[in-house]
Amino acid sequence: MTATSNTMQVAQAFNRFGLGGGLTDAIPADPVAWLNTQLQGPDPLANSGISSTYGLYLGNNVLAATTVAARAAAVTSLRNFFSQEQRNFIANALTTQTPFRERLVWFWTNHFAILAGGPVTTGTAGAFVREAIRPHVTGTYTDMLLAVMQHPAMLVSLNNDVSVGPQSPYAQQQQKGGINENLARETLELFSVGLASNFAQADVDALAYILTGWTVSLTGSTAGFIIASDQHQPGAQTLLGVTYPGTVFDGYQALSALATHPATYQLLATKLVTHFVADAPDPADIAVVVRALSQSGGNLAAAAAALIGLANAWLPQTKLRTPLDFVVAAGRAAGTPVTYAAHLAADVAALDQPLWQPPFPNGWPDTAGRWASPAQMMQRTNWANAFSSNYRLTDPAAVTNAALGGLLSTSTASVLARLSSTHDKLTLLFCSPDFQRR
Amino acid sequence: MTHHHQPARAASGVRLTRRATLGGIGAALTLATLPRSAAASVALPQRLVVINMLGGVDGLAMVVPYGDAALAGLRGPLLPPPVGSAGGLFDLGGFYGLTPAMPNLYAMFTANQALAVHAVAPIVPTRSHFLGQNALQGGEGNASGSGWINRLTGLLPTIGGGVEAGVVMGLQTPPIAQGATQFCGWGPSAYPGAANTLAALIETLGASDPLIGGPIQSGFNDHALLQGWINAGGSSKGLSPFAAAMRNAGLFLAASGGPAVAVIETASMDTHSSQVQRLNPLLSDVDAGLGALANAAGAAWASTVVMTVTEFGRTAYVNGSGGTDHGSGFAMLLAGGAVKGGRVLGTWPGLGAGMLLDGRDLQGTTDIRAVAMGVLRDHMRLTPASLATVFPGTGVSPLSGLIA
Repeated sequence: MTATSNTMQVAQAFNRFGLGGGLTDAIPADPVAWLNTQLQGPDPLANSGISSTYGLYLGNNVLAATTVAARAAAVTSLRNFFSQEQRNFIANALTTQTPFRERLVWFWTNHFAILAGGPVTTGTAGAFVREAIRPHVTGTYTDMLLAVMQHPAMLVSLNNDVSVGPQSPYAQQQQKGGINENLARETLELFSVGLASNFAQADVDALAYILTGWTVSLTGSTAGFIIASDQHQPGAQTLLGVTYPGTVFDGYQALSALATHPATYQLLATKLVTHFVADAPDPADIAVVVRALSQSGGNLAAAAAALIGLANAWLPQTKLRTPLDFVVAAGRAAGTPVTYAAHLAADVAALDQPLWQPPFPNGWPDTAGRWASPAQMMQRTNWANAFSSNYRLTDPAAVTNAALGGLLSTSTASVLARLSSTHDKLTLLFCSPDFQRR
Repeated sequence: MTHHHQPARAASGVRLTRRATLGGIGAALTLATLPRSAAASVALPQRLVVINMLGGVDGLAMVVPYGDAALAGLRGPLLPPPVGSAGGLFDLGGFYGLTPAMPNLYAMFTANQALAVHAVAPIVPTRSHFLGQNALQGGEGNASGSGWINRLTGLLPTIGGGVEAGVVMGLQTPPIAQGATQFCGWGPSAYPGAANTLAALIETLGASDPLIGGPIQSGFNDHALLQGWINAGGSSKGLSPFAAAMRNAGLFLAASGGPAVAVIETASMDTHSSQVQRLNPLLSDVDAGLGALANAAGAAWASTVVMTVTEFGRTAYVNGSGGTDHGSGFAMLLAGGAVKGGRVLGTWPGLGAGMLLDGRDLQGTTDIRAVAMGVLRDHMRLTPASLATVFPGTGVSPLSGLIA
């Protein structure tokens, strides 16, 4: 391998698979090995820090407030905590030495997109990543799906917490209650078999009934996910041709079957290859990842390793960076201190991608179309200009090398050479097509 | 915002007073600060605004068919007070009532500047947001992967010196505006701009990129014009982000050299729970936006059509959590001085026994493309061949009589 191609490969490993080269990052001698190593062992942040129980407490304080003043105070506490969670997430992204693994965390978090909109989801969004996503990024998809579907953030985000079996004891007694099919539909469409499987409305209904009673207790010693058996719809349900007897635990079997369904592997592989290779992925590449999932029982580390092995994944700069990608990559290249992470979280929101607040359960767009807009490009330019003014004492050549390494184009290099101020050089670097892509 | 309290007088009053004011400011601006636009204008005076109400807005809550005997049984807890009572529905002629959350729109109705089409059918019958939005924004039968508003703007003539024929309000280009024809765009700006010399270098460097070259060039080239039109429009204080964007769209459409078509999105219409509490503020916001756009458009309002679209309607019944799930037929709103308003059009399929799709959803009886094509033909003056470019292979006839 020539020196040049190794430099290119390192840059590709940093940018395509990682979160962008960091100012002080060591250059791996073997980029492929460097990526594969990141798939070993547990994520140190899995189940770390403050649990979702605290987020439920903060959220419930808002919901249960009986005076305007109490509510305002509770909202402030909740918002502060949410900001802290966002800050910690960005701070970790700036410094992590396992950026490929962290990109996988981002990917799966966006796949299971929750909307931190109401009190409970806002309180538990950060914990959702630590508790439902991180532990399973290199585990099985079944385990991740089950963890997600038992997490308060998802149950509330897609309304399963208020889905009640109409013939359940609770509904009979209260003379009210019915299903809410939101989570069931999106689980079929987005989290498992997808539209290509031609699931029917009857399947949506069946999964919704199966999941009735899967809800959230906001307070006390039971705070968290609970199965409220008195809200569960009695009777057998048939989902995708499989009949489940009607117990409150059918959801585990049903979700496990969905997680390992061939159509699910096809959907997951398509999304992964779209993220790691190209907006219009090659079916042959998708087939490779499908095979990795099938042969491993849905092991996500196996899928990630298969991505590394795709030749097309090493074709540089086919993907446009999302705002989160763009801001974090700039921060890593410039050596942004973690004390600045809260600002970067606000910047990501100003670029129209507020963390954990996508408008739809299919998450933020992972292709260029929506982000390649005039106003987005102007905002990125103006942000880069403002951001770069903080780094007047940094060596611009070092930042450029960290950011692009072997992927620096001659056209960008020649314009950089004509500029004299560090501020201008960094602004132009971050606005260049070389940097806007990954 | 006085027009919330005095809807009927507000719309016409707004229109008349602002028409005079804005004409004066616009003329001064053109001469004094924006010479580039002095000779520029889109060749046609017609203006079109498309509001995509993402998530599937509940047509039965927006334009309430209170005259249908089956409604109360299906919708009881979600229904606003009846016509004539405090905070009640605005009557739209004896069968339909407009949500009380939209007084500006009601004023436009009474001024014959707004209409609704009810029981509109989505292009593709689906309860998937994503399939539905793909079909809605792309238009079925379109093999190019472009959006139909993009194809429309590709057909509109422009004169040099102005901005592109289409503008996207926001920092993302929705699929409906994606395609071969470059749009201009505007979003809330959070940072001061880069210095001019650097801006020119950034633009030159980015121009050749096939993904972002067009947006970068458009962003830089149009910035001064768009910013100038906004600055000349006075304060936007007190407006929500959506209403402020609508106001900006109105200013752009009214400007000499401004775009003919604006695209804007509003999200969160996916009201699976607590619909009354969630939907009313959203519809109020849309309504405030309509008022702000009409205000800002001034004289251009007379030649404007604002059209709402969505991917599907919602279940006719209320679900277990005070919300509604994904359904089918929905309501479309058309507002603007060019609309032959004051009416609710469409064929009402009924909500009674046996009339609901799959026993749960309002049936659509008018294809959404018939409405869109009616606007494009009669308002935007598209020929049959051009219509077939925007909506290829539909087999759908344009709906007549939408335009005054």
